[in-house]
Amino acid sequence: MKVRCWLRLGGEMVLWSVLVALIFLAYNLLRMTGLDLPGLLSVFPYYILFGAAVFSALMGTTAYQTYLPVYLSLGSTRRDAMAGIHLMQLVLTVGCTVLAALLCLLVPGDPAHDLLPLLPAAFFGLLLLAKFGSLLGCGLLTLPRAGKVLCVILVSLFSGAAGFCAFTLVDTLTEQATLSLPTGMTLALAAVLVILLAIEIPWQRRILLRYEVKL
Amino acid sequence: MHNLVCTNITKRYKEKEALRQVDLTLESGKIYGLIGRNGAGKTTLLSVMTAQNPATAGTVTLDGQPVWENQPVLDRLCFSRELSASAGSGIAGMKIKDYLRAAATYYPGWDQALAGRLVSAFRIEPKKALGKVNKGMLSAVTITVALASKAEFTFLDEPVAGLDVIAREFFYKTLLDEFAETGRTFVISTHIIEEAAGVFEEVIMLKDGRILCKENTVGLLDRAVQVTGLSEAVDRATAGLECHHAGTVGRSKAVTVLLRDGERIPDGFDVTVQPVNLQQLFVALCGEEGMG
Repeated sequence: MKVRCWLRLGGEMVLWSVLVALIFLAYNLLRMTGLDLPGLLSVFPYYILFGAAVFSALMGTTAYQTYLPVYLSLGSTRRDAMAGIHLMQLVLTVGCTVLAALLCLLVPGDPAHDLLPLLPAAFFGLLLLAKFGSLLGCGLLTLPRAGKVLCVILVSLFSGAAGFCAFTLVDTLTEQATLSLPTGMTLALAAVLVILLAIEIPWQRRILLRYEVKL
Repeated sequence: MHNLVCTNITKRYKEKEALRQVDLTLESGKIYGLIGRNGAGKTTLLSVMTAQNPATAGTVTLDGQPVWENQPVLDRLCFSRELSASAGSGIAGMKIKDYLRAAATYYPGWDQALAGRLVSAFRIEPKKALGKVNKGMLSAVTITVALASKAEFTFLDEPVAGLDVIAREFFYKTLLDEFAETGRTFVISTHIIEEAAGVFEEVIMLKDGRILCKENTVGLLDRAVQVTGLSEAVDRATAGLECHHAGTVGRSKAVTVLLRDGERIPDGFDVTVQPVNLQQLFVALCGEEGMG
């Protein structure tokens, strides 16, 4: 299987997620009254996961718009491209979740430790966002104009919601220094993920078998 | 000897048939010129041959192995597409260096040293996004990918579009050097026919989705002549011959004749017989009445 380019993309997105997290950390620093380095580091994993959430959704869409035509034009099989998209999303999700988990274990302080039990839910949540992005990417490729408009509206709504969540996250972490999720959230996210996969895979397969490369 | 064989390829887009029952065999170790008018089906044919677009019907094989979804076979092919990274295009934001890096990953025989030399010779700016460079640089990028891929069968679609004359000369020279050194097969689709004619060992003409001819370039030009003179004399001199693209000015007439084996323009008529170049022959064979 030739999926190295997709794996590299996933790795690069992990780095971009860390960069976004650093920007949020800097913003957090500006809002603090004094320098509390352990406190600051303990919220870092939350921001990494937020960065991963943004890039998961974005890359799902971009994969179909940019990388799919390029890689197919360079001689990739459609089968590998299909696998590559899923692997890229998995690398991003696993990379950021593991990074967050390591930070939770290494950094002293309650906020980081409190995040550990939430990581399974975060993992499924990130994958879910990636699939949401993928479905939008499929929609932009195949749906008629009205469907494309709907996809653009959904992307805009997602971007708006992401921005709102970002500021809420910073506020919450600055004041409470912890987050909580309802019980059973992990299972619920996993169930939705299975449903999205059941829609995405046949749709993706149908697209790839008919896809015409245009650069 | 390796053969890339298209059998009964048809490609349909809704109502339009872009390729109609195309049968074509490309032998290794040749430079082919693929010429045809806009919309003749050149890019579609190249796309189908390299499995970048699915065919509606028919098969493409390399040494008997299907090209479609066959990675070992795809590794031996390179179709460096014409890039049109307009602002709305998905690849507009991709940097040239990232595009070249992806190419290096996908082509098993990628020659990084050659790629570096071409980037330098064409003055490609790798840090720029594909959507931010001019047409000439996009062409240079496609040429770089095609040549550095070292693929056995390499296809180029309008490789010199947007290149200045010096860059075009450099491309033809580099192509010939590469061909002499490796014996790779190249298929070059172009509208700048006369300039490239000297490079083509064989020419494939495509008209309305069908192969009009596939023939050795020298052999084809040897049997093509233009006959001019008074209309009646030209008509009598070319009677029974394969005539194309007759044009009249007053009482004078000019007609392009494609002679078959053993045929010649008979003596004794007051007509002028001149050789034609590939571009003139192409116009004669593919030009529509009233446009030539």
